[in-house]
Amino acid sequence: MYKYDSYDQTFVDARVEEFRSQVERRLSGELSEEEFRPLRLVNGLYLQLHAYMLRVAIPYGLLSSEQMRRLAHIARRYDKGYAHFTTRQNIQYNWPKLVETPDILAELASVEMHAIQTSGNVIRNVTTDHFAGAAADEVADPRPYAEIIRQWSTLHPEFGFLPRKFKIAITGAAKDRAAIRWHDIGLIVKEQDGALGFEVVVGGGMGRTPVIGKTIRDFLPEAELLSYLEAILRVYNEQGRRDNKYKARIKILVNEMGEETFRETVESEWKLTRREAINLPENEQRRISAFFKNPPLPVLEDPRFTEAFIAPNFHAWVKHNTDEHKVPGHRMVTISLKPHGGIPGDATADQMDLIAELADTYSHGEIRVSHEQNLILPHVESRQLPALYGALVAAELGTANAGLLTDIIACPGLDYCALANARSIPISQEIAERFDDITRLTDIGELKVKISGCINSCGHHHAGHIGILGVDRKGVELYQIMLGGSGAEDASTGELLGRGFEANKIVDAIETVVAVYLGERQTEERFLDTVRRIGNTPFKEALYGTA
Amino acid sequence: MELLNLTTARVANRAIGPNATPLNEISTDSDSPSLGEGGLLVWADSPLESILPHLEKAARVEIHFAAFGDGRGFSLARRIKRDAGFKGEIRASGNLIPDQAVFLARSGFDSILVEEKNVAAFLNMLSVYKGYYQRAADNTASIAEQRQSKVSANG
Repeated sequence: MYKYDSYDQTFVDARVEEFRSQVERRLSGELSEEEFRPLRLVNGLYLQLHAYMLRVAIPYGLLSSEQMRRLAHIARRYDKGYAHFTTRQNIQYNWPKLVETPDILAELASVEMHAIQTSGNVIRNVTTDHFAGAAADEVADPRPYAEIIRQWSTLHPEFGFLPRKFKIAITGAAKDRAAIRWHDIGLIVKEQDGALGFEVVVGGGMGRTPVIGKTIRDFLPEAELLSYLEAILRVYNEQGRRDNKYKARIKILVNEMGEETFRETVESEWKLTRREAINLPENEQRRISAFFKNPPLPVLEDPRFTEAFIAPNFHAWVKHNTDEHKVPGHRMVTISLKPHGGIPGDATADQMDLIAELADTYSHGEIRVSHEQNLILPHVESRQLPALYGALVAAELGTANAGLLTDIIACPGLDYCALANARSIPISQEIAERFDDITRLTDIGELKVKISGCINSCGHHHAGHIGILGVDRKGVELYQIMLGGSGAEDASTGELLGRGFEANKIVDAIETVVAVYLGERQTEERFLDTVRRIGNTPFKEALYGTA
Repeated sequence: MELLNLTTARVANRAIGPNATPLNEISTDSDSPSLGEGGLLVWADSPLESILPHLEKAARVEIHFAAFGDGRGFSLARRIKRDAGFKGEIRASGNLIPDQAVFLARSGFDSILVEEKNVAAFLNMLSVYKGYYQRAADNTASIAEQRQSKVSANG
């Protein structure tokens, strides 16, 4: 993985000292909250319902075991002994004290981490495929480009005060595990005539107005990445709406300008930016790429697990929570942070320490955070799976539900968030408890449930096979259901079924939806494919008695 | 108010000068060759096309920020220099915060008008970082370029 040199380290150290002085000025009263707000936000510090919340960047979801241990230490020393992994591959601490936040940032800087641009109207942490570099279906490793974009976007002088936040995701695989078409910019690494480049997708986004991103360029040569991004960002900075924050994302600009005009505007700006010294020098690109070579992994035979190995649910866990590695005899292991009854994405400091240790033992010290709020050990020898599984189960990290109905994405909701209308976490817990049986979950198969506690859709409900949206109706929390969304390469927006259900009825309603699917599905058909084939009507009839 | 020179990172040793002529007050039938010492006053959201016809009459363009969050002013400065080839002074004024000092300097601004009580905070911000990751309007070598020249110097 990428290692800081003295330039990078000097930069983040300076950032910590800068923030320390800002916090001191705030505590002494020299800065008002209004003046402090933009300063804390660009350092990831939010003021939430009950307390400050610090969001730490995990660049493109990649962590070393050493970094994970430091995150655990911070949870223990400065918070309540746990932390929350987010849908943008970041980590959040929900109870830091303002006076201690500079110390937390200093702890992070000591392991080459930071919280720069994890909030505010700026280019946020670049996200990518959590299987990057290891997946068997990969054209090229997207992480070097993600690091290049991280550096270019850090304190970019012109793009520090954009109309709204700006999210970039990149993948290098055929299967989209990074929700590329739901981002402000999505990049797909491609090969054309023996050369690498990108398909450039712009204007995807969730929120109140879900929009699937549009391809504005089929192939951008890899060397020209930064000049093209700079052109898109300049057009957005100048022309994106600033009169209404709900219409300020680039998706609205693309729709209002029209896809063709937007493309032409970007391309004519690119004619200018590509002549400037914006693209990365070739040597520098090589230097960065070299950091992402995989550890030496021997080609091995895949073992056959005999009865002697069988722990409860081991086979289900291998089936759901491990994926094909590009090197035979290895698997990519998903550690579910969705124990039934737990809080999606939360991990205790002890669990984080254990995962760091398991990464050292089984995965060359490497860990990934997925946008589905799970953790990945990317390079595990298949023959080690029984031992690894045993260690995970003992720490309540062995739930065999990756990609299944209880692998739920949920936003923090009304339990933490100042914007929420409804609780998300308790609903996800009740659903998981209702569908606790792994055999039943396995039978239901791939089914992505995503819950948001308000229209801002941090829980990605628009992209859920089943999306659940919490709304407030005259002081009562109601939950609406939408079906047919997807965050994958077949991206689509879920369609609302009808009126919302009260908190004590929503889990029954989900059970009804699943029952309709089980009754209607054809052999091997996923939930999403059944919904696409039969439409919403049978589900509406079952839930409301009418179509 | 004080005038800061963003190139030297000091209080400018010259007067703020007379007020600039607002873009919307330039009389269209004037054939005066110059807007005078105060130069031209535009806003962060003024379209470049409305500014272009007046640039050759101005020794200075002052871009006024009504709100510090209006990032259009940064791109506008860049365009006035790059696209219009303006060689005069670009000055920032209005509702700005100290943390923007570096962004202004690197987007093509030469000077900034700040309240006296904020002078130290703005100047401090200019020396926090030793280098930046991207090439910008100030045309200093990026960290990437510094790395590569260090490699070739050593190598």
